[in-house]
This record gives sequence, structure tokens and C-alpha cells, in this order.
Amino acid sequence: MKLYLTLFLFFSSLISTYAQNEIEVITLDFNNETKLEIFNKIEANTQYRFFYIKSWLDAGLFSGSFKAAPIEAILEALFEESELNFMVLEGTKIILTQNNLIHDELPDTFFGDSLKKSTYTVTQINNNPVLVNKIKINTNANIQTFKIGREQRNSKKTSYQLSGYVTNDETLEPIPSLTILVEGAAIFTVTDINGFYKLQLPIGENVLDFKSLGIENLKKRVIIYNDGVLNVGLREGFELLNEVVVQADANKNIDENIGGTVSIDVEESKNIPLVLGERDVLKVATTLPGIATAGEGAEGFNVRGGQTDQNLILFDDAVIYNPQHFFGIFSALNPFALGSIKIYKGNMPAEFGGRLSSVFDIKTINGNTEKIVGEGSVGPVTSNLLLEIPVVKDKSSLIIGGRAAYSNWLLRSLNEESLNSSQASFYDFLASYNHKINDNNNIKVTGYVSRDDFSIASDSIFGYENRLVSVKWDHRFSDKSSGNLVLSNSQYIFNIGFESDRNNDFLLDYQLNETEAKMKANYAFTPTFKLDFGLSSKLYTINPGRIQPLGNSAILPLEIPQERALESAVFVSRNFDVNKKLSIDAGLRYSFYAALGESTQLEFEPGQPRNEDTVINTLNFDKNEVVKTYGAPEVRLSGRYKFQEDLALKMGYSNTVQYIHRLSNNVTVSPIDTWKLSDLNIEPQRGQQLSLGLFKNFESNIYEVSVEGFYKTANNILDFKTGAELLLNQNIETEVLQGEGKSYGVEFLLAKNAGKLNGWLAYTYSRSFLRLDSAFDEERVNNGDFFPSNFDKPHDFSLVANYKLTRRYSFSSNFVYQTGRPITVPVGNFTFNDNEFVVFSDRNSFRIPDFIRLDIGINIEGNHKKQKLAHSFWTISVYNVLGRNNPFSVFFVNEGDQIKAIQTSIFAIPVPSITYNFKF
Amino acid sequence: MKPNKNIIIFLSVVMCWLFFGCTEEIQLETQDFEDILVINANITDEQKQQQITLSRTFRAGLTEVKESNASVVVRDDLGNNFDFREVEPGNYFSDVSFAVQLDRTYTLTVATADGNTYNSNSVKPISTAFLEDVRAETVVGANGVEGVAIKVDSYDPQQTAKYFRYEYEETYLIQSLFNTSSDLIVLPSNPPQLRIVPKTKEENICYNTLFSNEILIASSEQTTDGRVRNFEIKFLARDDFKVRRRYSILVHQFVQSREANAFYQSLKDFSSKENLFIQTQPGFITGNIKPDNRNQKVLGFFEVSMVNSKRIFFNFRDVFTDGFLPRYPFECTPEEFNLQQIDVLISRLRSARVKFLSFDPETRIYSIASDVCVDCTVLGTNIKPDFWID
Repeated sequence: MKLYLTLFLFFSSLISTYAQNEIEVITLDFNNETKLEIFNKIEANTQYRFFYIKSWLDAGLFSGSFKAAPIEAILEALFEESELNFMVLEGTKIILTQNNLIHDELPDTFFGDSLKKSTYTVTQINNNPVLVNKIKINTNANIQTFKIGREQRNSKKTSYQLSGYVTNDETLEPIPSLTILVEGAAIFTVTDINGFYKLQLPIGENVLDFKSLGIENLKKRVIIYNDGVLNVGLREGFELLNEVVVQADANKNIDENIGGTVSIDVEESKNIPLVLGERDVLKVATTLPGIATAGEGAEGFNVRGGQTDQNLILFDDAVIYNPQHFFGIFSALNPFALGSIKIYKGNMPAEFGGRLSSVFDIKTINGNTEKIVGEGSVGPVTSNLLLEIPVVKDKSSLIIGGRAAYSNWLLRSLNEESLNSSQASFYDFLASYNHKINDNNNIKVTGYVSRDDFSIASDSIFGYENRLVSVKWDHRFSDKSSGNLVLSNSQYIFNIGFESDRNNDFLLDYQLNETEAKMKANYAFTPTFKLDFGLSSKLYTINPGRIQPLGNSAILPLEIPQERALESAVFVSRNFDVNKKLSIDAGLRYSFYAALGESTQLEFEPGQPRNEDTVINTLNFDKNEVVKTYGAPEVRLSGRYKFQEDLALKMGYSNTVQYIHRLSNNVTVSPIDTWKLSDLNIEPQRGQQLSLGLFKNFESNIYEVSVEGFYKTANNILDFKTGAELLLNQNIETEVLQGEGKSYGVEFLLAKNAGKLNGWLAYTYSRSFLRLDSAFDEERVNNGDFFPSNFDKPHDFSLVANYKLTRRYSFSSNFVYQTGRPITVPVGNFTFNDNEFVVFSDRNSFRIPDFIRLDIGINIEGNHKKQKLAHSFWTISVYNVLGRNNPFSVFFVNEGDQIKAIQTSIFAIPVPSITYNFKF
Repeated sequence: MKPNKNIIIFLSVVMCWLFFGCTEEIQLETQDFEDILVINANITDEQKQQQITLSRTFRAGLTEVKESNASVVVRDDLGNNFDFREVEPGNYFSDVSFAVQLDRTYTLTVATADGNTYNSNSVKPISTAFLEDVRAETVVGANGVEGVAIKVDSYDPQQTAKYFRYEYEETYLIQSLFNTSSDLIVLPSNPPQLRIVPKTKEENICYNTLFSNEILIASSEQTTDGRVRNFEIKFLARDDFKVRRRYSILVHQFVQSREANAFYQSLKDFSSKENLFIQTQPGFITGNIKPDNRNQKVLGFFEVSMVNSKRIFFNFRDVFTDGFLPRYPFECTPEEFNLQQIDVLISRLRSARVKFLSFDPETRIYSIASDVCVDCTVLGTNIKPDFWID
């Protein structure tokens, strides 16, 4: 990739050099000839000479007649339907390149903005003229050489300034905090938040070493004759283990997937058929190995056999507790606003913590600072619109996005009386403002709200809501140091109301609020020793439940006392390059947690089961008095050994602590599950993970293959006594069981990232177990043995394929196979008070049938006329084409004194949908 | 209080409509059947021969298996032993009649014929509480059906009793649609002869009694004054045969411990229709009885409770002042037979599913009707219960 870029730089500079040459015209006829034949014909008849790799040429035949045509016209016609591109150099040399290698990767800023603004003259010349050979030899290890500036004979200066931008080749985003050091000299600098750097170099030859965490180290030779600009594109390195990058923006590169990082361009796969045409990047993530849900209509994600509460989901650095609408069927994240999603499946960087399984780091785009642009969609369930509005040209932009469901209308139009006065609706709204104050300061403010509401005809109302706001200030302190400060506040609320004409009407509230301040910075002490470090502190306030009577209700107002806690952490990390092949990332985090009063805590008799009878003491704590503290060092260690440029072995170990727990005694989580803080009786969850993976790319990174294994253990996983009542329970600790979790698995991924046919195949074999053991019967499940967790699905296979038929039509399909998840089934019936009941087995001893689903979709782009109000496309998809009745759950009903097994499924028939998308 | 339930039902319906999801009944064979002893033991402060039932789990589709020849003993903390004896299969009654005392604790020991022993935790009755009111209210129930709801209020002034369980016995008066005084019998002569004879038993007014088999539990935890108010224990649609004439219900209120309540709640939760999304994690329900042998399992709860009972009566017109009486819910069109059809009539009479209505001497036509229209003993007993007040 780097190589091609370099080549491109070179070509481009040559083009400008030789652009003034005379043009030779050609008169030739072609009749069903292959490209090879045509090249030979042209070479025979003209002075043009072609340089290419034969394997690039397809077998397509071409016919055409040209009279006095320039070579460009012939080649444009010839290559119209192919992926090839060409450049004419030195008047007669025609260099063929593969289209995507150039057009998809060329950042606009590369020559555009940055150079236009620059006052320096720039000439970049590659000193190696044997172009074709170079590609063949693939001498990646060679250091590329750039000549900067026109030599000025009269100059007496001994050093010149080199400046430029360093960007990530894949995401085109600037790389901040990257160290650039000059070999053999004590000169170095660190890029700022915009990836900009300035260096004063001694005249002549210098070797620059580019180093940063998560970025592949690179050296470039610079021969400097004058002040100049060198923009550098770097690719992500091997250091970040277990990271999945889901990218949601168009034109982002898709062919760079060097081990460890899997990047999927969601724009490219926007026509992956999804439920009712709703785009959902999180759903796409679940087609990747190691990320799963308990089933259709199950909220939350299970990452590598972890519980759903073990994922830290960050939306512009603020925690989002429930990023899904309608019981997990729709994503609550505006797909047009998403800039990037990074999912750390295991070895999360030291700056993150507080959850055992994963980090979903979701970032919104920075809006367009030049003109108003927008994107929207109209689908069968929701409509969605996003606007990017420049505020200060080239400096700041506001994005505003909103989505609303019109299921209310749908409900009313149904011919079902009981539903006519019911409601089910949701919306989400987002606003984000980004302001680049100067080269050293940038501020981004994001606000987000999402809400779901259901109400039943004259009976119950029910709603849940996420709210968050975050402010991020990026600042560059000096050439050697930069950092950022994030302030965020997140809220999760749900409420249940019951209104009938009886006197038991009530309104129940739950509210979780967290406020965090986080400071992160880096400092380069010496060129080779750069440290990333920071600290964060988070205050939780939970109002776990309040019930209020409505009207003349006889319900007693009850409020479960507020819970408060402070969770703080300091972290530091460093990247060591032991040698060219071996690189190690070491991070250390110390988290400290204090449960704060005002609070009343029960003390239980030691060595006795916890229940109301074994309470020996009731402790009262004053406001802000520390109830209980927990703290733990957390290690984040990962290493990479590169056998070859495209083959690497990676290993990682990490341990994590989690102080907040989701209380759910349901098979799958629901939006009215409450979150509980660790306290005197509920200990934090602790987990550790070991992983090992092999990563290999083929065919210039078009294909990537990876195999990764993991082994995880966890302690103090929360579960509950059978039949526990969790809502409004004042003594929840008497219902809680804390057990051990264990999971392991192997993840396999094969991806093809480019070409007409692209997509990926993911297969995971993994197991997830839980053990709830205790000396007391009432606190033991399944005799204290390990049993499969509710989401233990050993085989998980996904195939996502896109096929681009023409520029306007593309097909996609998505196939999923999963082992049925475990359920608890009856092992017998019994009668009790003249009624028949079932006795349940040990937990999760049976499985529901396997899950198989195939979806297909067609994406039709609007015409490609330039003068058009909006660019548009239609997405037509069919979800569950096979119409397979995939059971979501099996439950048991007592009807007419008899037990019946009922299977439920959510999408039992093929669900067609059509969505109109537009962009302006 | 389960606020979720309505949401659950609603969501299931919405889901079905909106998302084409569906629920269907499936046949699921009992997996790895486990043979477990089931103990149903609720002794109360009512002075009587207390009853404990023992059975075993059985495979789905089969019938209940009684546990016979077990030794059942209840002990109190004063050292009194109350032995229970099996009177009918699986039903054990105490040898002596006794009543639970409020300040005593009790344990249950069951030793089964297979040599296993099961002991309960020691259990103490919670408190007495008033069954303040039992009443019948005219309501419009689910799906807009008019009917009568039997509601109760429970109250413990000390507020120690917080959990309540209810059982009921309902008795209703049955009046046959046709009130006749004679029977038509077939004499065993050859050829058979018909004779009209006076009725030998009461067939016009009968009574039938049914026992509750639902789990009815309530708690006063979230009410302002410790009262359970308006707890609906029964709904009878207007056209329910039981309320056609006169209806009586006897409600028993048992004061439960939190654990007992949790046990019953779990029983109920695990067997009621749950939503697609909020599904309670089922599991083996552990009660307060433990097997001595750890490899054994036992199901059930030893409940010791203070009981209060209240009976009410009402007539159809007491609750539904307007409108028609509900239709008699059986097919009662008389069948007529002339002398030529006498053979058919005889065979119908011999089937014993019909009763004589009338004989017209002029047309010489016999009328008969289905027995449920004439003889109420088909549906109940003609012995008026002792408690019955007209």
C-alpha cells in the first residue's frame, strides 16, 4: 500500500513534469481483441510502451474503431468496465495500475488542501526508476527516498524545515501523537492532533523514523535541499490485538487489513440486508467472529462468551447504556453519523476499563466545514436524516441527526382493536459540534438522546431513554506532548406506569447517571521513549427505583435509596520495538472504586447463606462516607512477532475489573433490567483473558486470513437465586449469587476486501460457561458445576457477500448459522394444589434448534448524472429468505391444567422491505 | 405485583403483528425425566385433621403418581409429634386434629418407602390477618366481557403479615331448565312397555362445588396502609353457568412467609405465558424441604399458616340488574315421539342420556329432552350444603 502511494507520488510528480510533451494520435481498429492483444497492437504501431502485470488483465474482449484519437481516449474506452487505470509518463510510457489502489486511497488532503495552503515549493522524486520491477520484487523493506526542495546554490543555510501531515492510510484520519525522529541525530518531534509536524533537518540526507502506538513503524529517507512538505500515509500496525474496526464512511479504504485489525467498510456493505431495511452497524459487527447476540430480538452483545453487561459502549467518549431500540431489533445509533466503530474484543488499551469483555469505541463524523450536506433514508419503519452544517468555514461544523419510527401509525392501521389505541414508538436525536480552534486546539461537543415508548390501551406505559453529552478538548502542549480532556455525562432511565380504573395505579422510575472526567496525554521523553498516560474519574448516581401512587391509588410510595460511587483510574502505556519483528505494547491501569453513602448496608453472619434471617447488623453510612473500597491493578500486555511483512503472530494478556452490574434474571436482557453498583456485599467482577492469533494477508492484502484463540476466566459474575424478584427489591444482596465464568474459543476469519465480489466468512467455535457454587443449597445452581451460559453457541458461522454487477446494481447476501442456544427444559410434571406444573431441569441442559437465516438484498444506485439535486439509491431486501421458523425461545404454559410447550420466533416468514436513501 | 405482565402480553401481540413473529405450540418430549418427590404441606391454625399430600413427578402426558407408604411426622418445638397416616393413596391425614399455634415452630419429616428422608426447615406462622372483605363486583373484564369479579381485601393492623395466598371453594345452585315431576321408565317386559312414574329424587335444584387450582398470591408490601385491596381472585363472565342462579364462594386467606411467597411466585412465573423478550430464567425451585441424601431432589414447601375464611352469596340479579338471564348452556330442544316411533324412544331412554318431559294424552306424543336440561344431579348434587343460605 505504502509502496503504491509512493509510486503514485512519483507518477504524479512525473505527470506534471512531462505534461507539456506533444501528443501522438492513433488510428486503429479493434475487433473482439483482448487487452493483451490490443497492447501489442498499440506497441507495434506507436511509440507507446505498456508497463503492467499480466495477471491484472481480464479476458474481456474489446471492439472499437479510433481515428486520430489520443491514447487516453483509447485506453479510457478500453478500461471503462475494468478496474485498471493508467498513466502516461514521459510521453510514451503507459503505466497501468489497478484502480482501487489509487483512487480509493488517495486522500484529498494529500495534494489538495495541505499543499495549496503551503507556500513551499515541493518536488518529490523517487530515486528508483525501475518501476515495474519494483512492484514485482516487492521490496517493502527498502526505505523510500524523497528529495525535498530545489537546491539553491546561493543558500548558506545548513538546515531546512520539513513539515507535513501524517495520516492513516485506511481511515484518512490524521495520526496524532506520532513520534518522528531523525536517525543518528537528536532531532525529533511529535505530530499534533491534526497529524501535523514540523522538523528542522540538516541539509542533505536524513532518515526519518515514524513511530506510534498502533501504527506500523516506518522509515523514510529524505534528502532535503530547501524548506518543504512531506505528507506521509501510514497504515495501522500490528500492535493492537483483537481489534475489529468497523468503518462507516464511504471511500474508506478497505483493502488494508493487516492482522489484528479487521476493517469492514460499512458503506461498502450498506446493502447487507437487515431487518426491515434499517441500517445497523452494530448488527454488522455481530457477523464478525467473537461478537454475538443471544438471538433475534435479544438486546446487547456477547463478546467472546462474556455477559451483555461487560461491554463498555462509548459514543463520542460517553457511555451509552442501551444503544438499541425496540428490544435490540434496531440500532439506536444514527448510521449516517457514525465515523468509526472500533471494537476491542479482548485486549483493550489501558485507557479503557470498567468492563470485562469489550470496548465499543464509537465516534461520530466531523461535519463538513465547507458546505451543507445531508444524508437520509426513508424505510418501512423509520425515517432518518443527518445534516452537516458548516458554522465557521474550514474550522467548525455542526452535525444534526434524527430518526423517528412511525410504528404508531402502523399500529393504528392494523385491524386489531386492542392495538388501535396502543403505542410503540422510538426516536433518537444527535447533535455534534466540532471546532478546530487552531493547530493546537480542537473542541468537540456531542449530545445524544434516544427514547423508546410503549403503551398499552388504557393500561401500562413503559419507556426507556438514553441521554448523553460529552465535551472533548484536544490540545497540543508542545512538539513533544499532546493530550485531550473529556467531560461526559450519561443517563439511562426507564419508567413503567400502570393506569387503570383500579386503585393500584403507579409510576415506577429507574435512573442511572454517571459523570466522568478523563484526561489523557502523551509525552516523548526521548525519541524512543514515549509514554501515553492519563487518569479518569467517574461518579455514579443510581436511583434504583421509586414507585409512586397515581390518583387515589393505595400503592405505598417507595423509594429504594440512592446508590453512589466513585470509580477512578490512572493508566500508563508504552510501546517497545524490541526489534523489527518483535513489538510489545505494555499498559498498566490501576482502578480504584469507592462506594459512597448515604447508604444502609446489611451485614450478614459469616459462613451463612445470605437471607433476611442471617442479617446480624445494619450499617448506616452518612452522605459521602466511604462504604467500601475496591482497587486493582490491571495489566494490558500484547505483543506481535512479524515473520514476514504479511504474516504475524500476536499474543495478548489482560485483566480487567468491573464495578457495575446489570441485574437480570431473564434469559436475555431487557430494557427494564437495572444496574447495580458494587457495595459491601456485592463484589466487583474480575476477569482475565489470554489470546493468541496468527494473521496472514494474501494478494496485496486483498485477502486476509486470521485464526485467533482465546481463553477467558471471570470471577464474581452476577446471577440470581431461582425466581428472584429484582425490581424494587430493597435487599437485592439476598438474591444475588456471584459465580465464576469461563469461556474459550477459536475465531476464524477470511475476508476479501476488494473486487466485484467482496465480503467475509467468519466462523467461531467457542464455549461459555458459568459456575454458581456455594456451601449452601439455596446459593448453588446445577450442583455447583460449570454449566453453559444462556448464550453459549459453540458454532457460529457468518457469510457476508457483496457482488457488484454494474456501477448501479449490486447484490448482497448474508447467511448465518448458529448452534441453538441452551435453555432449561422440564424434566417432569407434577401436580400441586390440583394444578399441573413442570419441574425444570438443571439450568441450560437442552438447546433450542439451530439458527439458520439467509438474507438477500439489492442495491440500486440512482443515475450518475452530475447535475442532480441528490444522489440516491434504493435498497430492496428480503430478511429470512428461507422463511425458517428460527425459535427464539421455548417456554411452558399451563393451560387447562395441562402444560404446553410454546415456541416463539420473531421473524418466522421472509420479511421484504424497501428503503430509499439519499445524499445531497 | 408484577407490572411486567401486561407489557409482556402486549408486546407479544405487537411483535406478532409488527414483525410476523409467531408463537406456536410444539411437542417437546420430557428430556431426561427425573423422578422427584413432591410434597404439598400446608398446615393451618384451623383445628382439624391436617392434610399433607405426597406425589411424584411424572412424564408429560401421563397421570399423577401418588407416593404411598411414607412416614409423615410434624414436630413442634415443644416436642409434640403429630403423626400422619395415609388415608387414601398419597393423602396423609394427622391422627389427631390439631391447630397451628402462633408462637410455636414446626418441622416436617417425610420418610419414603424407598428409604429416603426429607426434612423441612423449622417454620413459624407469621401472624394473623383479617380477611376484611370478600365481595362481588360487576366489571368489564379483559376483551370487554361483562362479568362479575370476586375481590378481596386483606389487612394486618400490625403489618407483620405481608404476603397472602388465597384458595377458594365455589358452590353454585343449579336449577334445571325443565321442572318435571315424573319419570318415564321402560318396564323390562316383552315387548317393552313404557310407564310414567313419579320422580324418586330431587332433580330441579342442585348444587355443585369446585375448588380453586390457581396460584393466588398477593402482597401488601407496596400499599400505603399494609392492606391488600381489591385483589381479584376470580372472574366470572356474565354468561357463566355458575352465576346463572345463585353463587357462593368461600375464600381462605393464608398468611405466608416471604420464602413461601417466593416459592409460589416461581411456580406461577415458570408456567405462565411470558413475553418473547422478557423471559424469567427458569430453574429448579428449591423450597424449604431438604433431602438427607444430597443426590435426591425434593419439590414442595412446608407451609405453616394462619388462615381466615369468608363466604359470600349472590344471585344473578344482585349483580346484573338489567338484561336477560344467560341462556341455559346446553341443547334443550325437546324431542317428540308418536306411538309409531316408540322403539326409537325406548332405545333413547335406555341410553340414559335423556329424561322425560311430558306426554300429551290427546296426540299421544311423548316429549323428552337431554338429561342435563331436566335432571340437575347430572351437574351437581341435590343435597343442599349445610352452609347454604337461600
